[in-house]
Amino acid sequence: MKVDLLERIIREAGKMGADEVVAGLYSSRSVRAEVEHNEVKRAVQNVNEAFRVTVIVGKRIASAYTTVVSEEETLKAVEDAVRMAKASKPNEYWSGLPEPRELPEVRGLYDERVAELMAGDVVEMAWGMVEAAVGYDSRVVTEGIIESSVTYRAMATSSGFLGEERGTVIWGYAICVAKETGEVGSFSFATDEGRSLDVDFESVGKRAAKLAVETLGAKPVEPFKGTLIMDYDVVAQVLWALSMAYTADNVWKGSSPLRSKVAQQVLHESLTIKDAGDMDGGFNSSRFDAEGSPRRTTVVFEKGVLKNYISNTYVANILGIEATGNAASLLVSAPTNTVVSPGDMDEEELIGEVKRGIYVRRFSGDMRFQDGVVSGVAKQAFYVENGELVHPVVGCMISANLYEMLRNVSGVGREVEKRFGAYVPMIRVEDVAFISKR
Amino acid sequence: MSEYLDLAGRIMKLGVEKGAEYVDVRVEKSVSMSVRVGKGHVEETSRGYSAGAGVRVLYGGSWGFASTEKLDYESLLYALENALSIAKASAGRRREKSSVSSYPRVKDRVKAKVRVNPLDVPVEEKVSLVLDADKEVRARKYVKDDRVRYVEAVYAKVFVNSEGSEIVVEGTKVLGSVYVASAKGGVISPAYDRVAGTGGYEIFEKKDLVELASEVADRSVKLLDAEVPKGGLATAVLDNDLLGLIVHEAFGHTAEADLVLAGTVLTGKIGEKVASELVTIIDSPGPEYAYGWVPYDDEGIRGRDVVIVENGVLRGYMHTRETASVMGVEPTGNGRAESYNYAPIVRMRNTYMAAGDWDPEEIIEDTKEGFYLRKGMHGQADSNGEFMFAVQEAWEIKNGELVKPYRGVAVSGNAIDVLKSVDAVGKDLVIDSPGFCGKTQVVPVDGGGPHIRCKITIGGVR
Repeated sequence: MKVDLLERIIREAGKMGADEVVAGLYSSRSVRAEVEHNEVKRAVQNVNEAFRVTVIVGKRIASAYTTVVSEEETLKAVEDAVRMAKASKPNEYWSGLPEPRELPEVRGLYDERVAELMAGDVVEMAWGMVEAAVGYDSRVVTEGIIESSVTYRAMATSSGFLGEERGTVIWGYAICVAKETGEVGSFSFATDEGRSLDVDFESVGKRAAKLAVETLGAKPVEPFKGTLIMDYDVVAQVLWALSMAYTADNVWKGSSPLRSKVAQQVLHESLTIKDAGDMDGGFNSSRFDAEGSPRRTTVVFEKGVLKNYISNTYVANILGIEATGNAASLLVSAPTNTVVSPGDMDEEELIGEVKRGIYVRRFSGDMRFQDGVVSGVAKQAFYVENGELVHPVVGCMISANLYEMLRNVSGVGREVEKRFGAYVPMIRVEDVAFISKR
Repeated sequence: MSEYLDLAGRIMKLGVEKGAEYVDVRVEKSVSMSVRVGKGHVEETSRGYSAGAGVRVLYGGSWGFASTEKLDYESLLYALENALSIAKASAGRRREKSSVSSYPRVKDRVKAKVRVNPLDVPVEEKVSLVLDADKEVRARKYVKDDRVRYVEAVYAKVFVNSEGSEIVVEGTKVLGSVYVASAKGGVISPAYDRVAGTGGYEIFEKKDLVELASEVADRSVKLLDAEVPKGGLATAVLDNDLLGLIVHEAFGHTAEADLVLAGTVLTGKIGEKVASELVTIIDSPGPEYAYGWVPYDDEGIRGRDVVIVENGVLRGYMHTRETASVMGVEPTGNGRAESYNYAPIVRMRNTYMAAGDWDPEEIIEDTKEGFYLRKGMHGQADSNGEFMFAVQEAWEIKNGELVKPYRGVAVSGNAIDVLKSVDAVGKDLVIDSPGFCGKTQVVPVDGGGPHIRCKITIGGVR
């Protein structure tokens, strides 16, 4: 029925003067438990629906959406979009919607067990998370959220694409603060997420508590240059900044320093990075993107050599490259799942070989893809000397360049962990400046 | 929107009849529009319409909340039943029961002052405004990338609760923003600024978007040739905008009562000296033009000023009904929700440092050696007061004069240490540091302050 409505919308938009149309229907039901001060304070249920339409009238592009999904309101949105497109200016770069192509089979996007979760179930999981945290160490106070959603989307375009898919997502995090005789530590952060019920929030609670407690008694260090050992969260953050640089929009517009660098050795040869929108069970996986192009896996860096950018059809046509199923909207591209190939070192080896460095589990600061500026504070960090964790560190700033860091890699971990669509190992980097006010 | 008062009232009464200790029902509608231009081309013209309701109940000392996007009796009833059943489901496990402080019944209607309703401004005019700003930016050599945005939101909120309050708030917010990245010889220099507030299209009379674009582009290009400073602890003069960011991000969050209860650097410190005696910090529901204007919060509490720090001494925290009840104080009007999909939590509104008695120029003239830091970009802060911010523009001060610009500056420190080091506060209070705060829910906020002088750690790049 929903697909019928979309097809009718496409026809109506054409009658109103639209040359091209993309229309989509989205609905979700989510339940969420919110933890404050070691208590599951609130349980929340949301039921949401939306209709979105984008029309192109003589290269003039406009969109409209409404949360009132009735035939009357959706048609009103189409009228709005057509009227606004007519009032806008042409985008000369627009080269048309892509033709429909065969969609991949992507497994593990929907789990009946997640779809059937009720608020009470999520509340129980949240209690489990809190009890695991407090049980690990009674000095911690835990905050956090666990949310599960079941989603549906249907999309149709005037070029003949018609697709629908359903999905489930469950995610959560715990933030712990440890307090001891007047000292308040830095807050710690741990997460888990997935498309199936294969998640473990008790581990999340325990991990957050452990990180928070280990930070108590942190001391400053003298400024020095040395080795940076990046834990999974920090690597995920680095990868997020890097992914902006290989997104074709930023390459085209000149914000990215990776322009004209295809086939060049940009990163250390130990780094192979893929964007995998069709990965089975991937947090950001789906069968088709926002223009109806099939999701796929794109090798971005192979052994440090830049192979491809990621792009929607709009920017791909401008740059003369192939679209990679990365449309976040008709005009904007975005990464999906970022997958870093594992290396061959375990955690002990990554730390054990370090003469002098800092092991960082959270980074609070700026990582700019434009010029590579990395500047921020090391959190849940340890000072490392001769392969030993010496003491937790406070007030230590990391000052580095993103691209230099990823060239100066001296070790990649064997284990891969997931962080909201980033699938990353630990990475060790040499020659990083650590600044403190001492 | 008054038509929803009756519907919300019926649902509220049913909630009470079914045994809830407290019930509130919020109905919200909004119309938004945005235009985005980059590289001379319109990349987005979008109109959005959203409507929905959130029903919150306190049952057996436990909260339940459910939302719906269908504004009819059956859908709201379904939401109420869901809210009740999930509150009941979690009530048994609670160790400390939730409670709310009561508040006198309020019947009020408030409407933001709007001179030029953005809905009356033709789409063509908004598109031209953004295209003109984009053209201004691209007229400069070395500019590679730019994004100019216009966003408007016209909204109405109905609030009804079991204390008998009925409140209607109608508001309009407008934002124009400019991002520029210029590049030269491998150096890429980003810059950003925005004009935003509560009110109509007249906001661009306060600051013309094209003029703003010109300033941002100039800053981006100018910094291409600048060096990066050496890191370390330094004397710094902060401008109004950067101070606003630090007051909000590094200090304000540690005074939000929910976080205070969890443990922050300000926990248990009421009455203690936490800053230099020159420092007074206030979180306010106004002024009316501010982006974070909240005359009533999403718990039906009339907004009032919260003096967080007065002459260096910690005086109070920001509260919801629940945190106020826990700490035995009055609620402050800081219970805000992003939309009908969310239950309110403690949030800031417009947070600023009060004026002192120095001329801002005098502060710089009086500084022998240090930095003048202008315009924050983004940053993070921690429960222990540690913070880090990116600063767009830095000038070295030597003998009271600005001698050399620097780029790529980040500043860090501990909020308490920095505020204790303040030794000069300007008389030039400006509340115009609009933005969005994302403490699990995204809400518009504002703030600012005068120029001040303090000690802060500068972290440059090699």
